[in-house]
Amino acid sequence: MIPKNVIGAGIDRVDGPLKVTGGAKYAGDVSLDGMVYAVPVTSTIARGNIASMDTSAAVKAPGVRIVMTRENAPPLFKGGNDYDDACQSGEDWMPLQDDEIYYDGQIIGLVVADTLERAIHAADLVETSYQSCRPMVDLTAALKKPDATQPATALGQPLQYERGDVDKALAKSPVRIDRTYTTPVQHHNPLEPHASVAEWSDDGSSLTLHETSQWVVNSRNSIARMLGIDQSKVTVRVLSPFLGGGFGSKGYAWAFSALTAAAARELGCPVKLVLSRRQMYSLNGHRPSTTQAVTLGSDRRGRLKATRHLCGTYTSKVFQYIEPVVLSTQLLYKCSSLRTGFDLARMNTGTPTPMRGPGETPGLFALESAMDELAFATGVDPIDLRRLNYAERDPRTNNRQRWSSKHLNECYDKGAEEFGWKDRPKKPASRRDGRWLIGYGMASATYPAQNTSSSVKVSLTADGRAEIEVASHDLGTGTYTILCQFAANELGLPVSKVSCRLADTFLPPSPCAGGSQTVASVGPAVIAACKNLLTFRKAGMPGEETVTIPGSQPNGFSWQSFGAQFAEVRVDAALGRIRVHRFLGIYDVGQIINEKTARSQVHGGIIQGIGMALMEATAFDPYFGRVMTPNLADYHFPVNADIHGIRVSFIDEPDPHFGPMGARGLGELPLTGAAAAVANAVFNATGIRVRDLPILPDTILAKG
Amino acid sequence: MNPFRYVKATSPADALARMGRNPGARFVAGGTTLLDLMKLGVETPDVLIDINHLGLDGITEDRHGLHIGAHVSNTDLAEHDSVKKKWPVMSQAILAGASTQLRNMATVGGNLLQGNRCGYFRDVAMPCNRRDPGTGCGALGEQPGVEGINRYCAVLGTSPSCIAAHPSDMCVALVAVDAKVKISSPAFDRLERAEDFFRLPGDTPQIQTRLGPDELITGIELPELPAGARSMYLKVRDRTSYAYALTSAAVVLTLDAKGRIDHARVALGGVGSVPWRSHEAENALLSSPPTEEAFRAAAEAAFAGAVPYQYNGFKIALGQDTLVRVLNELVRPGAGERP
Ligand SMILES: Cc1cc2nc3c(=O)[nH]c(=O)nc-3n(C[C@H](O)[C@H](O)[C@H](O)COP(=O)(O)OP(=O)(O)OC[C@H]3O[C@@H](n4cnc5c(N)ncnc54)[C@H](O)[C@@H]3O)c2cc1C
Ligand code: SF4
Repeated sequence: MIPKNVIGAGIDRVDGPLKVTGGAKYAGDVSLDGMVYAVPVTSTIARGNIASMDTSAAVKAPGVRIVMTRENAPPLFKGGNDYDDACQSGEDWMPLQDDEIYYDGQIIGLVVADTLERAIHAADLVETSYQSCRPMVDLTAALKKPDATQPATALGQPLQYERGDVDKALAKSPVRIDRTYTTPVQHHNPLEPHASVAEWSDDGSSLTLHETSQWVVNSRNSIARMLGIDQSKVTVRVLSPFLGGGFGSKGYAWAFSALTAAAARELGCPVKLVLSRRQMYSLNGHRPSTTQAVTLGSDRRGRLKATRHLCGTYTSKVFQYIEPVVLSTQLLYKCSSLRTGFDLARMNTGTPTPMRGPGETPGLFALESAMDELAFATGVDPIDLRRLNYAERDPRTNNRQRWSSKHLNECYDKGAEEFGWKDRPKKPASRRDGRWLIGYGMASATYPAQNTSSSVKVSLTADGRAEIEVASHDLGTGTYTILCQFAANELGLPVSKVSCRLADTFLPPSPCAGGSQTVASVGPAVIAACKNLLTFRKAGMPGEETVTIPGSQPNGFSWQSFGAQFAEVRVDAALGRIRVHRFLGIYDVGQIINEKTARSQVHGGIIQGIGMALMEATAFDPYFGRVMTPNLADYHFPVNADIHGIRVSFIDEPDPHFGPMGARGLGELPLTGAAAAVANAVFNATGIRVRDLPILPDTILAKG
Repeated sequence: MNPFRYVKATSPADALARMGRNPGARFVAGGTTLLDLMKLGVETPDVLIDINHLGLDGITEDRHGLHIGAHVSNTDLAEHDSVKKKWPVMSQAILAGASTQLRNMATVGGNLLQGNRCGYFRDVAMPCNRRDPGTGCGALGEQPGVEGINRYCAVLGTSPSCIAAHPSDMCVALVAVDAKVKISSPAFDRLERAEDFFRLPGDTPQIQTRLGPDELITGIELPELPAGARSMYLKVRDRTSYAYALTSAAVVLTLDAKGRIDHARVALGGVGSVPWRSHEAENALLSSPPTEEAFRAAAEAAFAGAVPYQYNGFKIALGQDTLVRVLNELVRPGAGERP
């Protein structure tokens, strides 16, 4: 029987059984004949120079095959910095080529031994001495340094932006909110550590890499470039069939992968490297901290007259990463006078990189908190305030260009109804249950929709089985399942008759599994290939079809996803304890492909949002610049006991002007705005406005 | 991580004999603290003496109280019927610590010796007097005004050489119920009161307890609580589970016929260099009526000598409020201790 509604149904993950039985092999699980183990030696200072490295004890330690330092490392080259050409490295620099220390935990050596334990031991035996300087790890101070810049754009959008006359409009606004919000450094912390297993063919003509990669095509191109490989002479193959989460940290290529391959080349045998959790706090990116000054001007009824959003954030000393914080402010509300500004400092930290909802996530914490402050100041209900300033058309185009589809008002309505918003305590700190103060809060969510060119191959057998092959990825998000659904739907097959192979550069290329674009990019290619196979299918003949389709071309519409999120918190103010009692998210992301994997994505995003609101933060020692929370006991994110009553609902309306299925993607959306919904609920519960995340018990005490 | 040898001891005497005077040997029980420290390079033993098979895993009860073997797991102790009934503060404290998996492995003896969670102590690249005497205190910092990450550090009992907080939950309850630690040494066996077992850092923060390097903990004894005693443990932390205490309080209390407090033992967690018995709070409570004012006065007395650092000053107010909350809950149960 062919299920009638394959698209949209909550179909179980097709890779589920493999995962729960241990059959899914992750990069770090790969074990090859003659394989040896690499362990990076990392710096313990955050700024300065290496004075000397004594490797004599390490070299003599049992089982050690090689100790690589700047003295004997092969030449390695900067990876690419070209996202559009799928050659995007996390850093613009390679380790082991010079003496300089730019950040704590930087790779300064690589030890390879016949067992992991021996490699770890020998890495400990390397004695390094430094000339160290005081590192810069204070964002406020760093923003005042001469190396801070004002980058003009990010992702092709203007960061330094103005429409109308903000100063004039502000001066004339009877109500003004003028506040500074800060968000801390956060680490992705996927459960699966980053790993690389490298194997060369005997004649050196091919290199196979088992990687933790959200973008195998990029890993191939970037690592080849770091190694100085000419891909027309040497075949590089990258595989990453399963990922235990990435959240962006496995998107750009990192130097440790190239070092693994370089060691394998030197030694003539396969080499495995798995980063330790501590190393994952330095070597694969993080979300940078931000300080954001938001000024809103409105009339007494809450109609926005002016918006100003100025963000300061940072990148490392070895790469210009821009967390595009202010972009969503330019489009979320109708406001004719609006300015955004952006300052980028340089700090002695590991290099930041995209992390789920880069830009929108910290940005909407500030904007949606400020909107809540405006609601309070004007006495307008927070939802009414947002309706009042609803952007019917894209405000960046002088309110001319239409959205491909936008149902944010329905999100507000549906959310208010389901959540029981009308029971919201009208006055802060006015409702309690025993010692627990109760408060409701809400915030909008938004994230752009995008897609990029992808290829795909679909093969059909005479007995009616189909196989999809594409170098796309499943981060745990459900790609395997969803692509099977597309093919099943087009070919009129049950999902069980469709299989899927992913994340191998020998398969047709596809874009980064980032920016919530996988479904929107790869899905259309699968559909196109299947359509071409329909005649074979009807004739009961085998066939195969490889197609490449372009990303969506500008069509006169703005593509954007939206949502509304609601939180009820309970606060024990005397002890600073906060519990998110329930959380509701309503999302407008176009067509839902798989209700179950979509829901699970959103749950994850909301949980991450609760973590961002209440506990997540990486601490650097202010003097030494060393990460002081480099493990999952000291870096807190929610545990089961923190999570209650999450409910999720979709406005399941296909977008008529975005891709063939009208599905805009939803991976990042739920995290944007979630922290603001919680913080706004904390205000409603206690009357305490927290503008600096996370909201820890001491925050409540200090302000209560 | 250093190469090491592993040996299995078969009896307390065998364990002591194998330990001898070897400064490079360590007992390993559940391993949840020790193995972590070995991976971090903080502990580099050359011999691990496994003490999981010494026959120290029983719990027996007599008219003096409860005798608990050193190897009883944290889970088994917390779930023991008598403990839940007669020493609820113990059960609550243990269940407030770590995670189920850790508590299943962790032992009573190991919990007493878990030592320290200071991030500088656990990072061999950072200065720490407790780990490497004389290197300085990373949590206090190198420069005045630029202190280290010391939000979790103590405000009571600190010294200029170390300000780390004692991390254990169970040990706070042990002090509150006046438990004794049973110690075997090559020469003789002895009992130490839990509250005397831990040492203030002073100038020698590396010495954390009165246990000699060649001694073995064989068990603990919980004395019967006074008739009519109520007891409770409350912990405040950064998330609902699986986080160390910012502050905690363990209290054992009885009221006389007139409703006045005639027995009080107060121990505080997360705020002291050691599990902190507060005689000041107890004195303030004795003979008082159980009122909010009396509780507040006791809490203020408990923290009268507190010294805050750059990031942990909040612990003084929070510690007081935690104690007041426990006292209130003990005399008016259910007045709001609902999550
Ligand atoms: C991630 C994490 C979170 C945690 N959270 C908490 C928490 O919230 N609250 C809390 O209280 N605890 C917490 N803990 C600590 C936990 O309670 C301890 O690790 C545990 O109790 C130690 O017991 P063990 O048997 O595993 O000790 P081991 O690791 O085996 O030993 C610890 C030390 O004690 C010595 N030792 C052990 N037994 C004896 C003995 N009988 N005689 C002499 N010496 C002995 C060992 O030589 C070693 O030095 C946490 C631990 C971890 C890893
Ligand atoms: S507080 Fe104690 S444990 Fe922490 S760094 Fe200072 S001396 Fe070491």
